[in-house]
Amino acid sequence: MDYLYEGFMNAFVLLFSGHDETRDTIYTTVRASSLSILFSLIVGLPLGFFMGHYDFPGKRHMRAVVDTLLALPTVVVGLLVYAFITRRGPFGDMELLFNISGIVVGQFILVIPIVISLTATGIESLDERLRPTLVTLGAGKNRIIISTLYEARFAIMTAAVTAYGRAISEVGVSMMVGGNIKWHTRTITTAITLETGKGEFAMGIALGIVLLFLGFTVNWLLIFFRKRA
Amino acid sequence: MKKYIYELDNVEHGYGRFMLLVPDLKIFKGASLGLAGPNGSGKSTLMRILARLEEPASGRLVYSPEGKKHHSVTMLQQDAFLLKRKVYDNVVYGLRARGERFNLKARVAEALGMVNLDPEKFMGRKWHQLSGGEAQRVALAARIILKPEVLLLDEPVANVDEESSRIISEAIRTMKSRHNTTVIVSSHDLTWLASVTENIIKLSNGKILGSGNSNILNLSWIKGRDLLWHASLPGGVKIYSSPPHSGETVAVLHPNDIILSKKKSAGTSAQNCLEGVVKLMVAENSGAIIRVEAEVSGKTFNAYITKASALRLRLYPGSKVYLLFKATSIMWQ
Repeated sequence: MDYLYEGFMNAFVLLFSGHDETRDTIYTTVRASSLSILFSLIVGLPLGFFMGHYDFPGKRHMRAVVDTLLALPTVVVGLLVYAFITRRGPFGDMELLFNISGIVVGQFILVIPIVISLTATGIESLDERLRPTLVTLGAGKNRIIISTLYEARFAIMTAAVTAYGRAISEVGVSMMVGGNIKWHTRTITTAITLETGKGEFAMGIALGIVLLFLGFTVNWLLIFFRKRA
Repeated sequence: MKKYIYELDNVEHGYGRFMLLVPDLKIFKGASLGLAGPNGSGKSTLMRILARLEEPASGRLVYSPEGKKHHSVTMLQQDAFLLKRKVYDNVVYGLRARGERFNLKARVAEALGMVNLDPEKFMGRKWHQLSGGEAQRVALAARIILKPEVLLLDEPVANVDEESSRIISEAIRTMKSRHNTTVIVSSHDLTWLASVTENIIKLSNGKILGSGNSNILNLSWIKGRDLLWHASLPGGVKIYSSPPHSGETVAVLHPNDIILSKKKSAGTSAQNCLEGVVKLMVAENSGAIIRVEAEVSGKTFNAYITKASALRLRLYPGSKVYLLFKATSIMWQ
């Protein structure tokens, strides 16, 4: 078990000595995950609002599809995105393969069902007196949408945090679409896989600690904002 | 000449088996109208139609405000609902929605003052730091601040304490006297409703059963062997009525049709002679008419008598009294 202890010790040295490769891996992970979350919120929030707020034909079926996609295996998403952005694929000219942009696309597909589904659930669980209250206070259509989203802010924050957790911890998309290229597309999870395979436990454990730290930070922020609100 | 703010003509609206029917209802500008009736009678549905939250399924509703149509009516729903924000943000919401940006803090303070909440103490409080009565008063302040032409209040004192009820009544009167607001209030508490409105209309099973203090006998009526129909009051006392016509489901007894007596009368043609206790006496029509609320077997009846009769019978709250009325006095609708 000495190698585990040694791994932990080396992890702290790597983290606090400003090791370039470790820093680059963390940066790539945060960059890709943050971009994919940003885009998924831009697209997913209106869709989640629409699905939670309005009744329309086929809503239940659409909801069932979105909920099923919550359990999308990351390697399947990686495979599909790879097939579309490979040189021979329909989007091959966009040169997304083995680029951070490609990882962002894959993670976007992976997390958008989470954003849509949890936002819709948050909107659906709002008090039914909310809309009549806003209407009789004189709110117009746009203000009703903004106020409804604001009332569901805790559910939306939870959706964003859950989605972020999924994005930073996935390995399938980053590995298949990003290619785990050092100094370019290597993320924390792909690096852990590689380093563990090479027997470099120190690097693997260091990156694992960073991953946990990121997860805790995001969750702590959620709790902090909830408490303040 | 007084103008109507609402004119409803053959309005019908319903959900499932419930149907609200309003053949003809006109409400003057500046009026204060009470809607009375038991749960499920259609009060809230009528309120929602008047608030333009729902369009009637059929019929005609004409709304004629003085100012902008969109901004002139506001409604306080049953059970206070506040946005998950501070009291200040709740009260100022409507003003911001109307694009107003000036003097907001002073106006919020004024509105909170009208519902007897200390602005300094309450402005910064969060929605979950309020009691039920305080939340209802904050919700009312959020409507008062808009100075609407029409203020609709759906059961505003159903779940609040006596102090909050008194403050809400006072705020309603102030709105009416200061801004000539048309106030429409629903409640199942007739006495409270009579204290804040000039006119009351009663609803039962989605039908308007006239105005005033008519007694709605919303009971389980059974056809008897002697062609009369009978029903039991909550305490078990039976009352008798002439049979209804086909399709008539609601029994109504007008307060003028009840005779009050201190003695149990025999040998009259009245089928009903019910023993009760006087609960309340209210002077109406400049004191010439006394409305007597008497409790009989768990149900409150309204009866009108003259001031002279009240003095002769020496009636006062707590007196034992007999209510006499004929089976044919009960009208079916």
